[in-house]
Amino acid sequence: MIMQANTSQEIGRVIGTERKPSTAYTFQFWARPRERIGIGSIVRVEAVVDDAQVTVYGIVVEAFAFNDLESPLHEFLSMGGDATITPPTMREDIRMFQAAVLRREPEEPVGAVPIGRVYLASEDDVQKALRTNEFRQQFGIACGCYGGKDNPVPVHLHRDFLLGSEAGHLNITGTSGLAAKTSYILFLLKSIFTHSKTTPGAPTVATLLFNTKGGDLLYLDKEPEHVISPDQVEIYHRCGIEPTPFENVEYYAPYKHVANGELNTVRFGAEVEEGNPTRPFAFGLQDIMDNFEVLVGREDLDAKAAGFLGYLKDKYVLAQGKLPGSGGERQAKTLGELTDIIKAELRQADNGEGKGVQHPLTMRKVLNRLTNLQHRYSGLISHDGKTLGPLSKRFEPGSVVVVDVSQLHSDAKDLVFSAFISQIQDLMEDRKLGVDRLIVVVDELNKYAPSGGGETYVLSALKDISARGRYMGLTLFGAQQFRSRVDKEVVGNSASHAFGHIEAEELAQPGYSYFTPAVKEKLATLPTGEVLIKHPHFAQPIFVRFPIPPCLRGSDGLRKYPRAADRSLRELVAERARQMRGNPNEIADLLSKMAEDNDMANLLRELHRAPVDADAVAIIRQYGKVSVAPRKEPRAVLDDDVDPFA
Amino acid sequence: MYQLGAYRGEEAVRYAPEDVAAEDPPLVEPGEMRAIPVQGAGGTGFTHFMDGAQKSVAVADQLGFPIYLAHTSAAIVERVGRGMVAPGPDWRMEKLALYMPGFVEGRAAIAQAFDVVAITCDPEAPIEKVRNDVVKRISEDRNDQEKELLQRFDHGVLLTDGNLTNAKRQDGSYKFVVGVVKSHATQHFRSRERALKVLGLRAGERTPAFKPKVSKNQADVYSFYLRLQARPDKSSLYGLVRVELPPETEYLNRADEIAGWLLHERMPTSLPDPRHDKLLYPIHWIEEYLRALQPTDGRIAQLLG
Repeated sequence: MIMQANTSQEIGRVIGTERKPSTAYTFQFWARPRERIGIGSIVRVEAVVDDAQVTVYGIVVEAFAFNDLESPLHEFLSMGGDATITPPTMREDIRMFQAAVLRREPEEPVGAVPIGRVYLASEDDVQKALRTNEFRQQFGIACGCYGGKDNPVPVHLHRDFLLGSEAGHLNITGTSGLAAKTSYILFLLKSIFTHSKTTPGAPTVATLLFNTKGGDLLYLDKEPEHVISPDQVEIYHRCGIEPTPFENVEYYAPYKHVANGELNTVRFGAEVEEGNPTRPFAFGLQDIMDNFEVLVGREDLDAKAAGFLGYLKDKYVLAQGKLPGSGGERQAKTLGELTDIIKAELRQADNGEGKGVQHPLTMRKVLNRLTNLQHRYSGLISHDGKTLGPLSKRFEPGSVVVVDVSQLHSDAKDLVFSAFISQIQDLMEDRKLGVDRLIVVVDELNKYAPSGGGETYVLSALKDISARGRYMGLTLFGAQQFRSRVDKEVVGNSASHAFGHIEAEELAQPGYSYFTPAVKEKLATLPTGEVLIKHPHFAQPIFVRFPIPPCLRGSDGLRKYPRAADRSLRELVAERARQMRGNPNEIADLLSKMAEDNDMANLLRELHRAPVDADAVAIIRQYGKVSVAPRKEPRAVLDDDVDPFA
Repeated sequence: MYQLGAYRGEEAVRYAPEDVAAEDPPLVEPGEMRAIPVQGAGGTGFTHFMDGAQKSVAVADQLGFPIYLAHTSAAIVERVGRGMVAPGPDWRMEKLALYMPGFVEGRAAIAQAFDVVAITCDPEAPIEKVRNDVVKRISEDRNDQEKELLQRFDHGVLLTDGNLTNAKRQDGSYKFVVGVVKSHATQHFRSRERALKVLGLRAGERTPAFKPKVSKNQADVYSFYLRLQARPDKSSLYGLVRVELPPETEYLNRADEIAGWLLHERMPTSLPDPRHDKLLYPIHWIEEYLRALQPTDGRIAQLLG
């Protein structure tokens, strides 16, 4: 697609025949074969109708070419059946295009597109056709560039229709592994942050991303190793974005094991973590109670078990409750304490002392599930019952929070995701997000919000966010490989949509019938760095190009910062302490004096929990004096009984 | 009188009951009348092509005398590379006018809206005679356009549809122009033996060049028959054309070469045109081009109000 800056090049004429007339929203035109137009090109039609100038902007959605043959047989006969022959004269052929109307001037009356001259759209034409000239200055968020490499024209989305509150949310579809979804989201986030920073009156923005696989999102603040070509730099500049890594990025990861202070992430090491170490996150007892359905599986949580859990939460987690018999008052702060309480309740029920709150079998079932959680979700559940992680504080404007769950198994990922979504929903309701707009990026909506599946807690939360979030400062950027298999409500509530490369099988689904065959075929072969954007301000979807992210790619990061051999707890403690404030020699001396059997795991946790600018020496000294006694692991229950649910 | 080749409305070929070789035109290439296999059909030297077109509609009559609205046009089209290039205004002529007997001009209201070509006719003549005069004038106008373009042509090698009468300059010279005559209204060889030689040509064969007998209005040329296509299920005139060359030795010496060019021009064929056996594609291209210039029936109705 070649485009002139502010001048237009005449390329063809509108054709309206009786069999294929122009309509109010589509028209056809021919163009000279040498004109470089194709699917997605924007054109302008000029005509005079009843002495009045009419201008129509359209986008090419289908292309045709034919020559003067009536039958393929004629061509065969022409060549005498010999395909190697080159006739002295080429058959005359014609290039025709079908265009969908983007805009017309004047707006009324909405009549058929007149038979007029067709011009390739200039930069001004593109702005007018997409109506971005009306809002670009104040509300425009660049989403990529239209046009060829010679003269890319920035295309803007309306801020209030992308982030709320007029409309909101973005849904992106693309084949996994083809640098469509994540790359585009990162580019769009850079654009949003730039807009928020440079535009007076723009809302403050932060984002929360989940790194679900590899190291895609673990090096957002690192300089890239790949070369950003001049063409791509030009796109950044035309969009008003500096091609620099993200600033103010925080990384969070769970522990490997409850007894181990090492973080379960591939992002570690002094070099990569210098000045910005990975922080731990863990769920407290209340998080577990809130997300128990995810932890044990919905089908495993019947009404009686749910009722018993509610009883426990109200009586012993949120408040201090009296144990049955002469047990006194207890409040559970850790999972272990809660299981002890359940055992006490169970003993009373087994002994027939008074009326139990639930049947003993139900109580045993809940006890069994809770006890197994500590092992099943090792590293995710806080040893002291306190919640650790990004949601324990408000988001800072301009901050990027990455939660690394790439090393977790599928169930654990579900727990993390479910817990975060529900907590964010709570923050949203309480207006405690800390920024005007929080963008939550959720990949794999096929898994978390599938169509036709049961109503899970996560799906319910996503639906709620997609329906009401835009009013409350929460914007969902959802991504998936198969849009047709995502809950219609979640997709439908997204005002803006992006489509990267999509497999032909997916494009055959009814949800894509909106696109012409040519647009579908282009989507099926879309190169990296190009997406189709659908936005409320655009009458038709438009193809835009976007550049490669300006930060270290995951694969490059994993290669550059390889995972070291397993280290001892002492080595981990030393490394973490060196990242913090304090004299390195003094830290080394203190650590050398600590006994081997000292609780290094707990010390490591304390160091992780402290801010990175805290004094590591002070923490180690204090810890040496008041060493936290190893927590008593919950005893396996029913070890001398038969577990009816095993 | 024998009759051969009458097939699906094509012209009948006739020859005398006895060989009348003396009435046949003289051969200008050495040797007897024979079929000459054309050599070297692997390329072409034609750079330009010419044709004319006309469309006429009887739009009214005045006291029974016809009035025609006619569009006449002609064009010389250059082939660049393998592509035909639409001609600029210097190489394209067209005219839209009302053609009517001169004696009705002042009485036809429709004449106000168009250019009028008033034809001198005898008002006492039969209506059919007047009609023929009017139609003839339309053809003459088209012929004049072709002639003007041919006279302008000054470089390259031109292939024109039809004879070379219009190609002759006032000083009697010719540019490099070759004519292809598709119709066989005039049977040049009347003798049985020679007529059968012509009709018996196989695809890719030609006759020796001969000098046709011409009327006083026609230019002297050299000519030969050439079979472009042949099919056993078609008539003996299928794919048979008569080629005209300027009557100069230079062209005569190149007759075989020029025949080879024409054979090379057989591809692509001008299908689906029913004359595709004889109508070379570049000429077909110009026909289509000129047809696009002609007003459509709807446009004519609009013009006539």
